[in-house]
Amino acid sequence: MDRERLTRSLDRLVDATVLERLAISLAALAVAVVVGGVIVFLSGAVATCRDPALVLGGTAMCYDPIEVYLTLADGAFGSATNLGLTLQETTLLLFTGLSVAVAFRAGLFNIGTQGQMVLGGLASALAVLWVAPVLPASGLGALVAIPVAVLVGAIVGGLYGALPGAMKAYADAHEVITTIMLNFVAMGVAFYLVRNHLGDPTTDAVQTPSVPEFVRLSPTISGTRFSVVALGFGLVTAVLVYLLYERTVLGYDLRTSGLAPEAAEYGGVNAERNIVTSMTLSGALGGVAGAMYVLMILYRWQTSMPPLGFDGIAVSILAANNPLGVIPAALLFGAMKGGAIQIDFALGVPPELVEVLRGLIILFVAMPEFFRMLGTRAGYGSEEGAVATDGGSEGGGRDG
Amino acid sequence: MTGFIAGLLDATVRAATVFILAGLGEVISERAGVLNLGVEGMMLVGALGGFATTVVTGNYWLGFLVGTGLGVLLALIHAFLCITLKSNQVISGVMLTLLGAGLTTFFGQSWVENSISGFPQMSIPVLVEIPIIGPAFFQSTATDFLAILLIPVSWYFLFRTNLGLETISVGEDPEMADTMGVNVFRRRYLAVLVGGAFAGAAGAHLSLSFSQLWVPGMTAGRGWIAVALVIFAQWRPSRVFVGAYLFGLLDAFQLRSQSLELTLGAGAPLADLLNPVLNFLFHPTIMATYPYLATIAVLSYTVARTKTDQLAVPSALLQSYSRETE
Repeated sequence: MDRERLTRSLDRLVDATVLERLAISLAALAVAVVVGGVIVFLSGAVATCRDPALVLGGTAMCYDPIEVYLTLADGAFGSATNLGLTLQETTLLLFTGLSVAVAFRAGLFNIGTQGQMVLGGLASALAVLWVAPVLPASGLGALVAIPVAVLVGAIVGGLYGALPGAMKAYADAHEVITTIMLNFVAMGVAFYLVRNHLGDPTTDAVQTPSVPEFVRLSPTISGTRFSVVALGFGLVTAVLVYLLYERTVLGYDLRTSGLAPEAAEYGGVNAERNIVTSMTLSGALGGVAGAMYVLMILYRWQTSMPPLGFDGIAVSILAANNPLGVIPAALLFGAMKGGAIQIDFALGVPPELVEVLRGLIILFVAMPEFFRMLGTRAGYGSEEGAVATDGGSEGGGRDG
Repeated sequence: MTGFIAGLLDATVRAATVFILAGLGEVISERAGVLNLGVEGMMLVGALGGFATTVVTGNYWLGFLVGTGLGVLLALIHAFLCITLKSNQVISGVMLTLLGAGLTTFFGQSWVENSISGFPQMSIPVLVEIPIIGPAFFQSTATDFLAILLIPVSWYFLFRTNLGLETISVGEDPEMADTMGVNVFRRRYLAVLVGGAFAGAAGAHLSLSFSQLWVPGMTAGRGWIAVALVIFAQWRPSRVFVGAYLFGLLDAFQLRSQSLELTLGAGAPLADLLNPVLNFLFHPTIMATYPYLATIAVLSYTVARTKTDQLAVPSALLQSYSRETE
């Protein structure tokens, strides 16, 4: 595909000011909540229940949207256990969200975070199982084993991200398609390896043996798998990524190489290599997410990992691809995941509702012009101003 | 062996339909300058909508129609976002795929256990008697025949009708087209909606005709393969046909490979060395990844081989259009 055109359309997104993006994200959130509420209410018509929230002309409407949202919030933050569940999800989403954001900053759409996470997690579990027997089963052993696990996860995830990066840079194969395809390949290969060669021989499940006790990130809140160490690591990573992209020359080069390769080359930067670097970095963060999943949540690698990589896309888009914005966005989606269990348990609303909400949020974030239009109609700002905040590229769609 | 080949050919033809339908829709949409990465989501919505309708009414044609219509509905969102609001086409498409996957998992859980009797096999008399290719090509379901019929229809529409040529013109040079009096917005909307209809139909075919069941996520990346297929096909309906059979063959080969024992005998030379390799390559799990690997290979090869100026990519793809005079 033509890079220049993609660049122009991406420019529109990147150039919007931080405040404006924040306003758009919040507005999108509000609209998504309302539309999601309507969907919940309507879906109550086909569900069966004993005491409906409302009876409309003979049709029993099972769900009260406000009650659903309150239960969702209660499920996310209502007790120490619920908070722990929310935060453990938040921690993982921090890494996958950063993974997507890093690529996006360079104008690359990495949908392959899922695959990079699957392979990174597997490699990390295998590394721990391999290195643990020679280490003392103590805090000292953990100090060696955990960094090794994270590093191996990052390397394998990074290499698997570099692959579509190289194909993009040197063969101009669109990264959206290649990364999606590589997700399927990663899952197939990991399944085969664990099923046939590396799996736990004592069980039929497709999984590795569990890692020794001392390597696990011990839960901070009992009854959950939330580790404050992992969360702290995630927050530090977010700040480091932010500093890399906003305050260093390398970060600047990475951004321009993806967004405007010709301009970057003109400035003496090797754009191809930087595209590969961006994707490697993105993949490495995905791999770390996999390592965290192994060390903090499951204590082993198992097939059919949750779609954290895809959730990372939603996190990154809601955060306007800002590494610091990823933090609140990850918390929001983490809370939705934590609360989903509760709405299923207490109200019988399918927990997949959260996936619908996630889709709706991105839907509305993806339509900034819509909110600008609404803003203009409501009398805020002038028509001209609304166009100018668009990065001034309004005329860009014309020339060939 | 003849039995195996005949079976493989039959399975290929059946597996190719979904790629033909989704691929043709994508060609039409991209020809007008709008990339649609929401195909996968539209297919899922079409598959569930078609399936649920068929379960309730027992009428699979009605189900097919509903599935197609839901594809159009999702495409309407894409058109509104990309054409009217000038949003980023890549983000809008990916978002629609995620939304479609979310919606169909949310609403689709309860339909999983249902069974339907979908499109029955039909055969064209006389022609079906031809050995090997007869049963493959002339004994299929109505939607298989429909897909093959739509190839020349799409070609005729795009290259032989005014409407089709106008559609291509807004994908190549919307400014010029506008000057010539073509309504750019209307042509683009039409193309995106038609593309959505094709994607919805592909999904409905999958649940009503190909597998006759519904499982969340059953499209398994076929929508994405269709997008890549369009690049391979150089935005031409006739080459979509070739590509669809290529990927159909890989799909079919994987399904049929369970019955295949491809190892050397114990005494054969190099048996110890080659058998583990053969076991790996022909393991069903590994074979299931071949269509995805092939997509990557084909994509890289097509783009790398053809210089960018020779690549038939519509010039205004990914560009939103706004009129100069307000």
